[in-house]
Amino acid sequence: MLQGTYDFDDIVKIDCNNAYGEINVYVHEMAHWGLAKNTLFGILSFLVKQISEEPGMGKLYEIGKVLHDASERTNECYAMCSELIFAESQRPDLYDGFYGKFREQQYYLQYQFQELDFLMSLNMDIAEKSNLIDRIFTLAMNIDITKYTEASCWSSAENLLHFFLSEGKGCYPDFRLEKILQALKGLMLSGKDVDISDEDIIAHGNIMQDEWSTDNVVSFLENLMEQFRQNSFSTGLLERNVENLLKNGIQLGYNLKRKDNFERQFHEAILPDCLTQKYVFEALESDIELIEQKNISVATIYDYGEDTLLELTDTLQGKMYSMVSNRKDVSNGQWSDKCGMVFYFDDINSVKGYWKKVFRRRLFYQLKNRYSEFKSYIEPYCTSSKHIFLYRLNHGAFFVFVMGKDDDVFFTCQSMINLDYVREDIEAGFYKMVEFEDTDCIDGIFCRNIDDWKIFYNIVLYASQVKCGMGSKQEFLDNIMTY
Amino acid sequence: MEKELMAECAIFLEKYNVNVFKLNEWRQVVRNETFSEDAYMEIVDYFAIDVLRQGNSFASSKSDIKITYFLGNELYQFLSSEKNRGKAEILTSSLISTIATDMANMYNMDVFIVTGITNLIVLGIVKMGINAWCRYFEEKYEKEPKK
Repeated sequence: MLQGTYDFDDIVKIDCNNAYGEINVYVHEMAHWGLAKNTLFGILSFLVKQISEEPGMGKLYEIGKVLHDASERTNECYAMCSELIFAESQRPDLYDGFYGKFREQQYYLQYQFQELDFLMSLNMDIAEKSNLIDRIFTLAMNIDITKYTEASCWSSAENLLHFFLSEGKGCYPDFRLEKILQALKGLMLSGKDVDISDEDIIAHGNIMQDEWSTDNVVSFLENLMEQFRQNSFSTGLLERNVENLLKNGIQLGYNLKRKDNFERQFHEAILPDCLTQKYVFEALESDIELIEQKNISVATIYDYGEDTLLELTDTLQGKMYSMVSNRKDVSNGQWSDKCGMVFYFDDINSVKGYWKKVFRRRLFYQLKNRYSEFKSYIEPYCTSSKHIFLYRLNHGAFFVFVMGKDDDVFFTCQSMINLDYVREDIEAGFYKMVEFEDTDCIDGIFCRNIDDWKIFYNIVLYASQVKCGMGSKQEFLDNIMTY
Repeated sequence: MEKELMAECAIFLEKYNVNVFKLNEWRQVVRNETFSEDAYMEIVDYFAIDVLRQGNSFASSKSDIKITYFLGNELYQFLSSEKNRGKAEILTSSLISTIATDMANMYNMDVFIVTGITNLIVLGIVKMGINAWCRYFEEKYEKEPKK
């Protein structure tokens, strides 16, 4: 079962159904995050992924895939090692059983982890072993490939692949990992199984490496910028990062966008999301009248100007329908008063300007962002009071609902690990927590009428797909978190 | 048959957007004159897990990692039986389809994906030769050679 994903993005997604399940899933995904943020090849993959999402830069997607594939095994094996180190250090009594189950997993076979078993069985202090593993994978990934590429390497995915398979083999992390593992086995056979330095590995593995320093990262970004410019790729993100680096220097957990403290960045990078969709999915023809035949409890509208994508959820039956339509047809549709209207958007002012007049009701805005981003984004659209309530999804995830201007509501699903940050903001007066009255489930702000709670409950079901059916008012009340 | 199978396998692997380095490695192994079944099956195992995971993340289970063995065993039972032994002509697309459908139903997997994986395994058999492959399978999984 899919439990988490990391896609060289700035966040790690944990399935909200398993957000409280097994801590090793967090460790696994965060290891990917760490390796991407602290190595030159990781940064390269991250940047290419980010730039490929800019308008007109779709051609970089295939190039990004080559970079992903070149380091796939390195990334996965590092994440698996991190899980094992975590298990060994935190629960040594359960370690053997954990490793036994681990060997039966798909990843173990797919990424030939058996070639790394010797590392895990090293008779070393756990901290030293963890350090050795971090260094091995960092060495595999710390290579400034812009020193060896020509601009033409970036002109197509085929050219980049050819580069890695020929003169650029020394820049190919999975190949480097293979050489490093061979070097380590050789060193251990010769009796040197403690105090193995990076220099030992580099010399025996016959690999090059570039140090993780401000100067090296700046020169790497500048080279990349020049090679990208020659291929007419966008370089704005690279320029901004060079400026940032020259001003601030490099830090541990180098973050391409933010300068907040590392621990908080680490916590906020974990976002619960609906990864294993449990609802039955059906695509509908573009006929808005079909909506009237369905029992839609939540309508999600992806607003792309004149075009709209509708995702319509029947939380009672656990069904989800999709439909492509246009603004006019959606505006003319017969929408039940009980249906929650959720928006994804590029431009909130456009949504408010158009859809608020169409629906004349409360709109919901879902943000799948880090908590800090959510907080700063919503501020201009809220009154100074910023009423809030928190809803517990399970032991690992909770929803934040904040009242905006015009009676609209912003919401996000966050990992429980970030609850303290929200509580700090409530304590500091940034938000004002509402109180629900027990018998009627009314707080006077979010729920003013006796059945208002149902829309919030349906939104939680739609966004998490943890269950379907009609929940009770008591269940809803029981999960509202008190300060 | 070998060329057709290679083309079908390549289309299948490209459809699932598999790792481009592994795809390149697979092409090299199948084009290499000295074919290594162990090296080949290592790549096929990788592809099998990858495409099954892409195909349905709900259903991924322990049987996923053994599917190449299950399919290989079905093919071995068929190819080494007294009735079929030595008959290269029985290795047809309808046989592949039958075995793949049975296995897909048995383990609740996508038939298209299992057919693709079966094609990959059969390509290995064709490259090696049926008799040589049966001997290889017997030795690897310690099967009693059929008389």
